Formats: sequence, C-alpha cells, structure tokens
Amino acid sequence: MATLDELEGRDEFVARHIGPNAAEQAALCAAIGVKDRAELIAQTVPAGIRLPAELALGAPMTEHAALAKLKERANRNQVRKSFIGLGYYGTHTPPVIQRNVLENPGWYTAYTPYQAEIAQGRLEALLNYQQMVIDLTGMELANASLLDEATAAAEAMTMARRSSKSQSNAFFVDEDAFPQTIDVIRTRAAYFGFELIVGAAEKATDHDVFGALLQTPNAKGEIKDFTPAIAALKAKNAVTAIACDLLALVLTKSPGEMGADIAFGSSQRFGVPMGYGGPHAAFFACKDEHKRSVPGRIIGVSKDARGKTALRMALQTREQHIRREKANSNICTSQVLLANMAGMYAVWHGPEGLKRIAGRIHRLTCLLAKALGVTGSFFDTITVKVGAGGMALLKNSAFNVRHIDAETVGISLDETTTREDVAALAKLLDKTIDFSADVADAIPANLRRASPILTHPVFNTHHTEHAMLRYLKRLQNKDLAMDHAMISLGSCTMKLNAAAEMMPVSWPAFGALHPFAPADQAAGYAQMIGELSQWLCTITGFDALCMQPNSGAQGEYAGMVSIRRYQAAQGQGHRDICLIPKSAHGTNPATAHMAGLQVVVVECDESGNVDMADLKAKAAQHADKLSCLMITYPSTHGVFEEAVREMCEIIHAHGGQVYMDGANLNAQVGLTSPGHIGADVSHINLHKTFAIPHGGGGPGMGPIGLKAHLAPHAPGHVFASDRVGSQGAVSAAPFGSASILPISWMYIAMMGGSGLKQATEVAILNANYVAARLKDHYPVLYTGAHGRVAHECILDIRAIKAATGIAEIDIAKRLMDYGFHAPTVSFPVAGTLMVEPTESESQAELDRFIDAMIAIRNEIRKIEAGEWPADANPLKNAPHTQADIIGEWDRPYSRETAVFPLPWVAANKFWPSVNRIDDVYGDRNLHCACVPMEDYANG
Amino acid sequence: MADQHLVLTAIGDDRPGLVEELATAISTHGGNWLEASMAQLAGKFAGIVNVAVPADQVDALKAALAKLSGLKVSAEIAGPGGSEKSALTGRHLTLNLVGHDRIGIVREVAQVLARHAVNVEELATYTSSAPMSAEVLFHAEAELFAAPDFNARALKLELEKLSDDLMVDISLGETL
Repeated sequence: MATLDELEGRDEFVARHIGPNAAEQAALCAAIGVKDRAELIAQTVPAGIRLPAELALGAPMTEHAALAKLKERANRNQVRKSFIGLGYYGTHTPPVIQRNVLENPGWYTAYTPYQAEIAQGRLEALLNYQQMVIDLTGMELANASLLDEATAAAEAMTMARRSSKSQSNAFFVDEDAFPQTIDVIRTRAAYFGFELIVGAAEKATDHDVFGALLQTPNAKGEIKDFTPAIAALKAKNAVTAIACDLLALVLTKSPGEMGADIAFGSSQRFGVPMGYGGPHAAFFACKDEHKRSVPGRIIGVSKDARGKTALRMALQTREQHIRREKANSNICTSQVLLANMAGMYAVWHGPEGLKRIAGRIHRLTCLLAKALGVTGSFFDTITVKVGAGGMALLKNSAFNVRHIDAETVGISLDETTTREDVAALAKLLDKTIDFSADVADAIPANLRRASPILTHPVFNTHHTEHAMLRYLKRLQNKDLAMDHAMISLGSCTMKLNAAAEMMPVSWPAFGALHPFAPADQAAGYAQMIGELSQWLCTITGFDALCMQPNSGAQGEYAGMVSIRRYQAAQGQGHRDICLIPKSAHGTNPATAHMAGLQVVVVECDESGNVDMADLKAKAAQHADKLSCLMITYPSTHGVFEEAVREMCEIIHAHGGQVYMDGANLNAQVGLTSPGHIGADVSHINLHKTFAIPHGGGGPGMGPIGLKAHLAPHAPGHVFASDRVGSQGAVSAAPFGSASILPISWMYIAMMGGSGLKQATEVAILNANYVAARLKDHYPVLYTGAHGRVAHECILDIRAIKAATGIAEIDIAKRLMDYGFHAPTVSFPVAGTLMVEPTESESQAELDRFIDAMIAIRNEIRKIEAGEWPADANPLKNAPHTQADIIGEWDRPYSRETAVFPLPWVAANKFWPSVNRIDDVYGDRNLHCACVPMEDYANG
Repeated sequence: MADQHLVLTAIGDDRPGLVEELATAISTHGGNWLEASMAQLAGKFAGIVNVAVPADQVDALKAALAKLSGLKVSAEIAGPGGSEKSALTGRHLTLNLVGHDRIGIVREVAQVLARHAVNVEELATYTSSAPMSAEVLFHAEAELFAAPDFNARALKLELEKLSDDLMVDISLGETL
C-alpha cells in the first residue's frame, strides 16, 4: 500500500520538469556505459570540488502549493495609483496582447532569432517596433531595443565617444535628466575615464564636450525645444542624445526634427506593466550616418534564396563578436518580448488611438495644473509646491507622487488616470476641477507635432480583436519555439519554462508597482526577493546577492565594477590587468574593457583547458597589477576542468580576484558551486539556469553573488539606498527586472534542493547521451579527464566541411526541415555545433533529435559518395519551403526527402516560411524599417 | 665559392610528402633552406622558399627541381637584401583585421596603406565562421614596413574610419 506521503506527491513537479523518467534514465545510463547517474557524475565532476552536503533548501512543493505561498507574498504588496513618473507609468496592457504575446509560450519560449528562417514572425514584430520608434522619434534608424532607459543613456554616451571627432574627454548631462539615468551614466563614465559635466540644459553649449545628453520632457516635466543647442553642439563636433518619451512624442516635436544624433527612452508605457522596475524595452534611435555604431541588435530586411523579402538580424557580428577587448559595449541581448508588446500596442491602437490616449493624458494634466495653479510647457508631468501640509496629506493618500523636496512634488499622469483620480488629487489639496471648462494646451506651438506618425499599413489595419488575434497567430506560426520542439542551444540552457512559473508575472500585485514606490508598499517584493536571494546564495556558495543587473552581460559588468571598487578601497586601485582564457565568450573581454581593465589572454591547451603553465606565468608576470581572472565553469568548451580550484588559488596568491561567468551554472547546481570552488563573484543567468524564458531574445536577468568582502561594493541605487546601498548603479531600477523574479522563485520552490540536484545530474546525463550516440557520426571535440562532457557537447564539423564543402550552417538549416532549431553554431569554436539538451528533454525527444542528426550525416555520406552533387543536395538547399515543393522540381532528390526526411517528421511538420536568407545582401543594403505590405504577400 | 640566394616558387596538387621531396632536392645540392612560406589552398599546395645554394650547384638544383613529379617549381635570383627583411631604416608594423567577408575588403585596406606609403611585406588571410550566425568572417594578418617619419596616428584614424564602414576590427601595432 502506498504511503500517504507518496499519495500526496509533493515532489510531483520535479518529474514534470525533468524529461526522462526513472526507466528512461536507466536506459540513458546503459547507452553511455554507466550503471547509474551517480557513477556518471563521479566520472564527470572532479571529486575535489564536489559539495560536501546536500543543498540546504526546502523540500519540493507542488505547483498549487507554491503558487499559494507566493500569492501570500504578492498580497503583502500594496498597489496604489503611482503618479511618480521618472520613466515608469501606469499603462493598460491590451488584453489581446497580454493573453496572446506575454502569456503565450509561442512568443516567450523562443530564442534570439539567429536562425532567421524560423523566426520571421517575431522579426516582423520587431521591425514594426523599430518602425514605431523611427516614426515617433523622427530618427532614421532604430535598434531592436536595449535593457532599460538608463543603460541606453550610457550606451548613447559611449556611442557619442566613438562617433564624435571632438578631442574633448568630457560628456555633458542635463541635470534634469532622470536621477537614475545620471546615476548609471556616472558609474559607466568613471571606468571609461570620461569627465562628466552635469548642469542645466541651457548651459550645455558653454562646454567643450564630445557629447551631450538632454532630456525632454525632463524630470520636472518641462518640454523643451533643443534645436539651437543641438546645432551649437554639432558645430563643436559634439554628438547630442535626447532622452524622450514615446507617448509625449505623439503630440510634441521629435528629436529628429530638432536635429538630434540619438534619441532614446523607455517603451514601457506602451502596454508593458511597470513591474517594480522591469523588464521593459528601452528604445534607441539615431541618424543614418551613425548606423554602423549603433549598440545592440538591429533587425534588417534582406532576401531569401528565392528572392523573397526576408528579415534577419543585421550587422550581427559586431561588438562582442568582433571588437572584443576594444568594445564600447558588452550588450548581447535586447528585450524582445517587451519590445514586441510595445510594438503591438502601437499596432493595436494605431496613430488615432495613440493620439487619443496622449491627448487624454495631456488634457487631464492641463486641468489638474490649472486647478493647482501650475503654468509652463509640459505633457503629462507637473511640479507643484504643495507646502508641508499638502505633503502630509499626499503621503497619507491613496496616491504615490514624487517627493522632490520637503514642499515640492512631481505628479505624472498616465494612460490609466481617470477624471475621478484627478478630481480626488485636486480635492486632497483642497482644489476643485471643472471638467467642462475650457483649458488651453500646455504644448507651445513651436513644440507641437506637425509630422505624421505611424503611417505604415500595419499600424492602421489590426484594430478589431479578431484582426489582431489573427495577425498575432500568423506571426507566431512562422516561429519555432519550445512549444514545438527542443531547442538544444549550447550555453543557452533552454529548459522548461513551466506555466506555473509564468503565471505570477501577470499578477497585478507584482505588475502594477512603481519601482520607486515607498518601501512599505513593496513588502511582498522584499520578502520574495529576500527569499530568492537566500536560496541563490545557498546554491552558489556566496554570502550576498545583488539583484540589479538585468542581463548576463550587465551582471558581468556589475561584478567587475564591484571588484574594482573593492580594490580601490584597499588602496589597490592601480590593479588593472584582467586575465581571460582564450576560450571565453566575447562579452568577457568587452566587459573587462568597460570596467577600465586591460585584457591579457591566457592560452588554452589542446584539450581546450586553460593552459596552467601560461596562467601561472601571466599571473606572476602581472602580479603587481593583477586585478582579476574571468573564467567560465564548466568551461565554454563544456568540460569540468580539473584544475579550476588551483586557478583560483593562483590568482588569489597574486593579489587578484576571481570572477566566474555563470553561463554554465546549470551544470553545477547541487553538485558544486562557484563559491565552493573559490570564486569571489559570479553572475547568475536566471534566464538560463533558473527557468526565466528567453522571450525570443530577452528579457534576461543576471544578478550577481558575492563573497562578503565584495558585498559592500555591489551596485546601489539612488532611490533605494536604504535597501541596496548607495554605490553607483548599473541599471535603472534597484532590483533590475523585478517582475520576472517570481519565475525563478517558483522554479526553486517547486524543485526543492533535491529536485535541483537531480535536474543538474540529468542535464549532464542527457548531454552525455547525445554525445555517446552521435560520436561515431560527428567527432565530439572536448571531453573531461574520464571522457565525459559536462552539460553540453561540441560536435566538430570541420572535417566534414573540408571533405564535402558541407558546413555547420548547412546542417543547422537542414535541421529545420526535420522540425528542429539548430544547436549553437560556431561557438565557442568556429566550424562546430554545440548541443545542450538540458534536463527537460525526454528520451523520446532526444532520440528524435539524434535520429535527425544521424539522418543528416547519412545525407552527407551520399554527397561524399558522389550520389548527390556538392552544390545541389538537401543540405545546401535547406531549409525547404512549401514554395519549393509546389514549384518545378528538378533536384536530384525527391520532394519527400526534402520535406519529410524521416517518418515522424510529417506528423508534426514545421514549415519554414522563407528559404535560406542572404546575410551579405542584407548588410550591404541595410534597410531596417517596415517594407511595403506587398512584399510579405508575394510568395 | 660564394652562395647564391634563390627564391623558389612551387605549386602543385597537394599530397603528403611534397615538402619533404622539395627539401631533399635542396639539401642534396648543398642548399640551405633560409625561410619559407607555404600554404594549402583550394586543394593546391603553393610555397615560396628562399635558399642559399653554392653557385656551382644552382643549375643542378634547378634540374633536380624540374624533375619533381606533380610540382611546378621556378627559381629566381633573390633581390637585394637576401634573406634580411627590409634592413633599411624604417618601422615594422603588424596589422590585424577581422571583418565581414565581402568583395573589396583587401583593396580598401590596401588603398589606405598605399596612401600612407606603407609597404606590405607579408599578408596571410583566411575566413572563419562567425559565432552564432555562422556568417563568413574575413581575417587578415599583415606585416608592414613604413618610412621612419610616417604618421602612425593618421594611418590609425583612417583605418578606424574604415573599420566602422566595413564592420571590421582593425588593430595596428608596432613590432621591433
């Protein structure tokens, strides 16, 4: 008879998350020649770094129990109407977008659209977003989003440095820019060695600078025409960036019309909840002449092998892939899911809808201003002297306003503000509003928008819910996400994003909080973040956690900045050498450069491990100036290096700190930990190891864990110094993208310590199974001391390429015909594929993928045998589309071979919507805005 | 008898043992292999070798080389300077370049170098597959020689300008 414990099944989620069940795991073990998981782990993870005890986390919880527990936390948040502004505003997420984009795994489980042929849907959505930004800012080019407004400002500064011919080393910042923007810019400028001049916007032209940042509407709500200032700055070779607001731009003169070089801001108020700070998409636009210097990803138009219009990421090998240690930016990801929501908000409302929303907000602001006796030029924000009495009344009200000083408040209205809200606000201050009275606009004639916006048909078509629903579905159908098949991207950890983990993201108790709301209204967040921090400390072996960085690369930066601040505090600020193994991800050297460090590359040996002799020599050689080592563990090559602990000891012995890149943490959880190994600081990719979905290319979260000595030097925040300290910030919001933290909270709560450890072991088991079954077909490039890989394996395609001309990219595209997304291509080694199956894939799914890879290898054998020509075979022609098979067929293989190459493919056929895309054409003919509708219709 | 410096150029279908046969022919005629640059490209083997040979062995070596099967070898008398690399006073520079592969990339860089009267002494190029996207990346490594008074900053600025336009990473370093 079953025990009651068994019948209760409190650990049932563990088996929902982990793909292979016990019987399948036994089969996998047998296939790779071990008796059980424990034997495999003993052969894989060096004994010297294994944790001595089990993770001290709670027992696994069921989905419903964990949701109920999290709900208790959420209920401790108090959602009030926030009129705080400063880049975060109430907004109504259109329900059709909430349900069909934000809450839809077809959109949120997709990966960054590197494989463009199976990502045309979100690429089109991102192109709409770029077009929207171009239209509203009046600029010529926009990127596909950045992490947040403050980091976008920092990117604008470094882009100005790169573009400007000025000899000056100074950058000017408007003192009325948002305080958190100035905070982040200050951090960033310090390590680049730029002089920062903060002053009144009107004084910008008094200085000799390489660039300037001006804001309208500014923190006080004033709207300004910067046309003369921009011209005067330009005459001195300075590049001007304007921080602006998309909704204000519906009614006001654009930065483009003022002559600005760069325009940026947040697209949050286009339907993305405030979420206590994020995630949101920052927009970034510039003049065409700066297009080659734009940070981040840009979607561009190209054509496919049939000459049909097709979209792709343009200029994608810049920055981290090429410039490495000379990079001005370490940006990898964008905020695709949120950019798509904002773009769809514009599609849904169209130009007339946006004018109505912006017009309503402005009218209500004018009515309130009139009642409160405020005059001036503004859009939605006014600064009011309310006196100490008014202040007290507001503090105890149902409204949050911005407290500027003891007697002054800022009030920012938004889409959700009603006439009742405004009346209540006025009444609080003993004023009344006559809503029927005429009130003049507060936008002067010279600042009124004259140019048309959003004229492209896509913004003028989908205004009924049926039309919108079907447009979203049409786009979704073009994209292969994890709701269709496994995405085995090496180093990306595309594990299950469980529905129970995602549901809390939509709870208003998490979504509707302003990031600068008083701390006592965010008690639920504080508790949830506190618990998650504690759990992550337990898992990583660190003493403290900083939640602020909102991407992995940002986490690297926060970690390096913490090290530099610590060393400066020790009188060791001269230490500026950073050792990085040759095998590192390109962001590592880019980040080190941003932190003002000089990169010294450490060689790798033939097995891909760090060359210990070289590490010792270089650590000794640079001992006086050694700041730190950046390593990834298990290595980027997917191997548990035996000598990792010794590496840490060598660095410490020479006065340096160890930064461990957390990209591969999924292979460590419960078995070892960065802190246990000897690292001082590490970032944690919550979007990899802790189940936050990739969102089709963002959001991410990269909090850092730190040892006690570094903890006081972690990023703080100007609006939360009581909670996170007062050190300079790296992101706009104190806790980064706080509203997606419940995903990781739920994941850890439901898995418990035992479930997490099991997940790590199965991730390693699955990877070794793939390696074992494929090694006779494709050589496995690197293995550990006992011939095992860690949680991923690299398949070497170079010999095949030399013999047949079939390249890794041909295999990647051919996998699409089999219904799979390619593994990681040419990283970390050119000419290879890196497979990371994660623990969430069952044996059946692994076998389908392996069978597809073997079938492709057999196709290559036919090319080797001369049966198919080297240039006319299913690989070179992949992917195959419906257009291929309905047309004339003169190929040396059958239509069935083309599109149904294995028996099970037809049952779940994914049709790529375009043929192989011409990358080179797209970069040479850079076009990054919407194309005429006919281009999509043809073919 | 004085040595004669010869520069041999060899091209043929690539197969194991080619280099050894070439080296054997040279050494059996008392030739000293000074420096060489060789590569396998598109299934062909091509090499250029600088050898010092006793003057009375030159003709016999040429005859022996002509008999090597599957390899076309031509020999020329070395130019002034022999095996010494630009012994004239001047500055040696190293140029490293990575960019999207596309037509004209070498020409555009070469034009800039020519405008600054910089001489290309050695050039090695190859292509690789870019991370994630697998787009074709073009790599070039060049050894350069410039007059002592040339303006390194002006050259750097002009190369940097190219680098935005070609999306290339260019680094220019001085080697002593």
